Amino acid sequence: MSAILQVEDLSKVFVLHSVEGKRIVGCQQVGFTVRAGEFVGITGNSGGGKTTILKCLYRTYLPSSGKILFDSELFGKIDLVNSTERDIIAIRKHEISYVAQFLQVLPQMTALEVVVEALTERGLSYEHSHIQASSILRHFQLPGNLWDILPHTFSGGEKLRLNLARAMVWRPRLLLLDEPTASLDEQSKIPVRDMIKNLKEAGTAMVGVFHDLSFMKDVVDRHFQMHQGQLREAGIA
Amino acid sequence: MLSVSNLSKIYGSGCGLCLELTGPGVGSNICPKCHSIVACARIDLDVYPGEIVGIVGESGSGKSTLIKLLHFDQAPTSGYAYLQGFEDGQVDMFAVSNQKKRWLRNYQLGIVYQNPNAGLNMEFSCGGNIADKLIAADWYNYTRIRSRAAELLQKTELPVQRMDELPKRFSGGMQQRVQIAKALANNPPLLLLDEVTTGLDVSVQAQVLRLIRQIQSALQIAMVVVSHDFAVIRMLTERTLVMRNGRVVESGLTDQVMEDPHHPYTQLLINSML
Repeated sequence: MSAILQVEDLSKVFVLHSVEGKRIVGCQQVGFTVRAGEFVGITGNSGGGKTTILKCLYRTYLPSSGKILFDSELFGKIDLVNSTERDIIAIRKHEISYVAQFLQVLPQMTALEVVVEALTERGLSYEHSHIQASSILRHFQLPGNLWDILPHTFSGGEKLRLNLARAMVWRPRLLLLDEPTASLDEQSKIPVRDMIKNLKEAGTAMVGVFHDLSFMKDVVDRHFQMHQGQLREAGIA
Repeated sequence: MLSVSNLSKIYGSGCGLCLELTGPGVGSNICPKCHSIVACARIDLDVYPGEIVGIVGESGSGKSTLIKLLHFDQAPTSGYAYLQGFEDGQVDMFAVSNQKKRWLRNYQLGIVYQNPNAGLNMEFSCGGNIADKLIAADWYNYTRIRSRAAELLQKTELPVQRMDELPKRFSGGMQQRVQIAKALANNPPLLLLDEVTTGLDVSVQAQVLRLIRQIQSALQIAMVVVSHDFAVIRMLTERTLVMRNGRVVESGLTDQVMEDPHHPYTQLLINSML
C-alpha cells in the first residue's frame, strides 16, 4: 500500500508574546509514515505533545518547520505545511477529518442535525444524509430519544460518540483521532472499534492519540511513544 | 469573486505620511503630524464564491469602515476592488460612475448593519422595506414584489402576516431578520454583515447565527462577517482576518488564528476571551 501521509522533521514551537516572547516546544523533529488502511497510534504523558502533532496535521497549528506530505485526491502530493488556506479548506471538506477531544457545535442544532450537516455540506442530498446519519448514530448506540435533543445537554460519552459519528460518517481518506475512547465505558467502545476496523478495510489512513492502551492495542498497526516533544517507535502492536 | 487590494481610508486632510506614522507598531491610527485618522490602511482581501470570511478586531480597528467602503457608503482614499459579477472582474468598482456603483449596490451586494435603523426605514412597513430594495433592482410588478417579500419573510422565519407592520414595533432580533430579508431580496452574490448579533440576547443571537448558516449553505452566497466576538466568527467562518489600528495584522484559517495566533495582538485578544 502506498503512503497517504509522510511526516518529516516536523517541529512546532509556540512563541508567547505576553510572556516576553517565551518559547514553548510542542514537538520536534517528528517523522513517521501512514499507509492506506493503516492506523498509527501515539501514546505519552499529558503535555508531551501528542495533540500538537494532530493539530499540526490538521493545520490548526501552523508547523514551525518540517514537511507533512499528504497524498491528496484533489491536489496530488501536497505539503500541508505550506499549502494555501483555500487548499486546506478543500482538503478538510473532502479528505481529512478530525475528532477533537471536545465537541463544538452550533447552538440550537440537534444531534441528528449535526451529523446530517456533516454530509449535506459535502454535497449529499438531505434524504441520503438523513439515512446515513441515522445509521451511524444507531451504530454508535446513541439512544434514539437523544437524536432530537441539543448536544450541550449530553454526557461526556454521548458527546464523544456524536463527535465520532460526525467525523466518520463521510469516510475521509485520513482520519485524526484525539482520545477517541476517553469517556466511554467498555460496552460503548465496541462500536468504536468496529467502525475503526470498517474504515481501515475501506482504506482510510488513521492517526490516533491515546491514553487507553488496551483499546489502542486492539486497533493500531504501529505504536509510537511521545516523550518531551520527540517521537519514538514503540514497536509493532 | 471579490478581490480587494491596497484599500485605504483616511478621515481628514492627510499629509502623505499618515500611513507611515500610524499602525499597530505605534499603537495608534491618528497621524501625529496632521491628526488625520487612518481607518483602513493597505487592506488586501479576497473572497471566494460561497465562502464566509470573518473580520475581527476591537472597536476602532477599522472593520466597519472596510464594510462601508465595500458598500459605497463611503469613498476610499485609495485602493481597488474587483467583483466577479461586474465587468467580469476586470474593472475597478471604485473607479466607475455613481450610476454603476448604484447598480452594483442594487444587484451585487446586500448589507446588514449592526443598527437596524441604519438598514431599515422604520416608517415603511416590513414589506415596504423589502420592496424598496426590489424596486431599486427594477422590480415593478406589485404582485410579484409582494410574493417575493412573503417568501423572504418565510425564509428568515418571520411571521408573514406581519408584513404590513412597521419594523419599529418589532423586537431587535426580528428587526435584524427583516434586514437580512431585505439584504437577500435580489439574490446578491455577496452579503456584508456588520456586527449583526451584537446587542441581541444569546438565544436570539443563536437563532440569527443559525439563519445565516442556513442561508449560506442553501444559497451559496459569499459573505464578509465583521464582529468583535470570536465566538461568532468561529461559528460562521473558515477564514479570518484580524484588524488593529486600520491594519490587517494576521490572517489565516479561523481555528488556526484562534488556537495558534502568531501576532502579539491576536494573542492578547484570544487570551482576553471569556
